[in-house]
Amino acid sequence: MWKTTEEFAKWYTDNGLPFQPPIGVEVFLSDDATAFCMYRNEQFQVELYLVHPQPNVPTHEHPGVEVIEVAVTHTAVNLIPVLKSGQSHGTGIKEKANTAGYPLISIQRWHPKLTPTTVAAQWKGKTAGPIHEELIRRFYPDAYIIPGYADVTRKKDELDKC
Amino acid sequence: MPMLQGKKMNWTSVEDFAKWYKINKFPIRPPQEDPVYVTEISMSYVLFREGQYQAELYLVKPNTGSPDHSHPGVENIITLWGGDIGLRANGIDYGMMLNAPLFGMQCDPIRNGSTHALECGPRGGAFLSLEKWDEGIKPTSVTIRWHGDTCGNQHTGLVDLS
Repeated sequence: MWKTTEEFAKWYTDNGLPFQPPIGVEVFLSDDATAFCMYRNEQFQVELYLVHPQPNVPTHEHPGVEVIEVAVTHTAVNLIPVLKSGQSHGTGIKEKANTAGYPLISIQRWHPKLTPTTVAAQWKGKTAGPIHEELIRRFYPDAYIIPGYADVTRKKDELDKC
Repeated sequence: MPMLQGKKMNWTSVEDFAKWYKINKFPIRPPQEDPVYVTEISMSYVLFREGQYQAELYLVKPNTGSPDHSHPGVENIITLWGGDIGLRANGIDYGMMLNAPLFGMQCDPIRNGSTHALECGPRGGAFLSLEKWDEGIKPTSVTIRWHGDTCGNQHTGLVDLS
């Protein structure tokens, strides 16, 4: 088994980005992207996102997940440095999608206490819209989710206390 | 004769191409001249293109489906990846397979002009369309090269049979 996200990413790309979806795989729909899992082995997984044209990808974090994005071009596979848990991204995705959209391969390592699902639901930051918020709520019914913002590391009880 | 990484490719049929694509572990090498195609029911992207042959990835929204339709000038083989997908093609109803282990399962080729239709259940659907386009027709997407009722106004705006 791989020891780091980087090690897994190297193995995955060196082996030609194998398609091996887990049984029971499903298509996850958000307001600005559609995704499905291409590969999963315990806490390591790869999701393929089709980022919609003109997406509203806000700056966000994926708590408990390390992510390496892969840009696939006609001639090369380029790894974008790892995004650690607690670090944010988003602006680059929005700019790259522009009016055409693009495929984004997300290589992930999930914390041992988490069940890998989709990083679209493992979210902290501004949300992409109501479909996205519903997706997060499905996996985290007790999380802090308000219109336009979600944080799965906080509880919705905090809202009641305010 | 199409070339791939210095090797001459000599596919003579869509079955030939599909076999090659599968043996070579479904390579991802997007031509990057196509956008992400978005309709009311699906998002799709060309993962691989060489000459008149290409592989398109389709991610279909949960609980949706397409009307009966055909793709004039295109032969294709549908390879199912996951989700809940029902397919009707060549007069055969393949039925809805809820949460089935679909990895790499494929239907018989859908010949030029044959009608077919798709239905997706609560997990949506992910599949590859492996295609051979007739000489003289520039390959784009079977979402565009569509004959029959469309999936909605957004889709109608994309259709082009010229």
